[in-house]
Amino acid sequence: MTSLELKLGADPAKENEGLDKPKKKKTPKITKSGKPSVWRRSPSLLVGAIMVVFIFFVAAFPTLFAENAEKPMTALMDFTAMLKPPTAEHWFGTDNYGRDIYTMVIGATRLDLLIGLGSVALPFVVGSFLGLICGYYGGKLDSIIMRILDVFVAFPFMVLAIAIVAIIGNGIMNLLIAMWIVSWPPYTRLVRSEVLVAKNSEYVQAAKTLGYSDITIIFRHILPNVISSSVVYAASDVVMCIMTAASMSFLGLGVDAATLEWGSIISSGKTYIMGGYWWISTMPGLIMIFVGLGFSLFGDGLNDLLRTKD
Amino acid sequence: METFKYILRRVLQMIPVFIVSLIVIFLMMRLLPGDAALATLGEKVDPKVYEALKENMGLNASLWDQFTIYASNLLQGDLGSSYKYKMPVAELIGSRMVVTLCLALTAAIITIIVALPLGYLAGVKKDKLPDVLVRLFALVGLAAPSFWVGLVLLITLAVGTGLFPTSGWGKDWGEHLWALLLPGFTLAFASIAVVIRNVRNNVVDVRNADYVDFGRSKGLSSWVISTGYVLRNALIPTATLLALRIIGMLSGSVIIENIFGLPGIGALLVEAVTGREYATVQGCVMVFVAITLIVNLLTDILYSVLDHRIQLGGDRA
Repeated sequence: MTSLELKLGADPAKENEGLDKPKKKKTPKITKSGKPSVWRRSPSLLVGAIMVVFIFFVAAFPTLFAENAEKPMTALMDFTAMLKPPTAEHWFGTDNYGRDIYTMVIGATRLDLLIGLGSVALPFVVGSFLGLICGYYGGKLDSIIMRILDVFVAFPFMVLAIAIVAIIGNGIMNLLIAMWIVSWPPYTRLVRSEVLVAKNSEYVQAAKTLGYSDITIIFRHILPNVISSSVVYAASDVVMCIMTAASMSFLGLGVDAATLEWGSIISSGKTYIMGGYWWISTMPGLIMIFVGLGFSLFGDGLNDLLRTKD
Repeated sequence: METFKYILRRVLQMIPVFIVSLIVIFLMMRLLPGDAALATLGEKVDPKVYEALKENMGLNASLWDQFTIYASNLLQGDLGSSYKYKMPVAELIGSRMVVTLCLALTAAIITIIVALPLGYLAGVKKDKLPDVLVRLFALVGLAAPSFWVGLVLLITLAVGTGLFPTSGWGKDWGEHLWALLLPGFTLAFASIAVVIRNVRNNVVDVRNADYVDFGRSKGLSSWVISTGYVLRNALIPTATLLALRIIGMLSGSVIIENIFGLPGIGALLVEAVTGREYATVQGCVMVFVAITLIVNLLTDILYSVLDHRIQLGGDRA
């Protein structure tokens, strides 16, 4: 068992101890006992983590990968090199303004990553919190929140997101708001169903008998035991949110056309497809696949690690 | 009897959700910035014409009156009419619905044909080369954005070679089918990945189950074990997943129909949102919500029919 699994299965007293101490101390103990380390047991976690770290690195230091990545869009225009196919000089080719597509794609990484993480962060916190409350207290409050949730999931998410952006308008912030409204229900459902099981377990009964307050029981005893499925879901949700955001931009309902975003770059190439200029719309997809692979592998790895079947 | 009671209860639960969704979408449309009458007529217009149209569209009434009119019309089966297409919304949606349903059906068939054998193969050959290759394929499928896959197919198979139409839906069923292949595959792409992973994991689980070992020790042929034991049990969760994918496909159709210029309900929704066509948007969203609710119900029923151990209405607290 890994340190994380030990933590999840342990009784409340031990588990708090585990939270306070840094993980480092525990890992060697496990390798000593002859079991393979976390990375060896889950190669997809290793590969995924490396890819995700790399993506963060690109987002933080785009100029290391494309020297002009942080310059304004107009500075990239070069009317002597319009619509050039991919070459050694322009890896992904150039667009109708002669801008290097590789540079644009690298430059957009930061924004897309922010959209992906930003879309997930709030629903993860709020959705999980609602799940905790609903599962633990049950009753009227639970029924009300669950019926509201039913209404939200009655809309296919793309349809709801389009309707919201249509009302509040384009732009990065509005896109994020749409993503928040659309993506909280799965977190609430996942956490709620696990709380329903956990609240009947012995350690919760023990904590209740000892007279701990509800808040202590919910956040210190139940939360660490039920959050893993939510965490795993969040990793794959980042990919889904980046894709949905890009799809919205592609339809002209996401960030405004002047903002560099993978979806809007792909969208800008749409009109040139018929003329045989295939690279504007296709090349940015490669980096999206890379990002998607990274987060999917990372999520799979987390899943192997946190949720072993009993 | 139990099943019937359960279904009845679920249907009764669906009705308020459906009504609330209608109210939500009605209010959302009224909150939209911009004026529906202005959007229909264009910028420069005679104020008299504008006022007349506004009156005719019922936009001068109070929000509550607008809603009661909308609701009473709806109960009579009248969804209002589209000003852009000059026809009743119900008829418009009906004609567009065929395209979207055919698209979803094509995608579902492609998903089944591709994903079931590959998932089964990967599960049987766990950790061997076929498994690794199939899992890699599934990962790429999850990572590739569907609108990008659509564009790549469009560029390589339609624009480059002229094998497939680049836009439109054709005139007869032969052309329809041909026009649906690329968008169908695009829509299926993400589902294929999800279903492959699901089938593979189920096959791996089932093959480790005690009753499979028991079947082997009884001396049953490997054919009987793989079809009667493994496949049958591994596909139960997959069947419900497939049903749920239909909702995902509805979401996907909004984008895919735009790329391939298919006149479906998803494309209609985007047109109607940008054109401020209240009645059309309300109608489209209503259809989407209705399908989602029905699919969810059918999925639950399907689950219990396939696996008798699951009792309907058990723990829905």
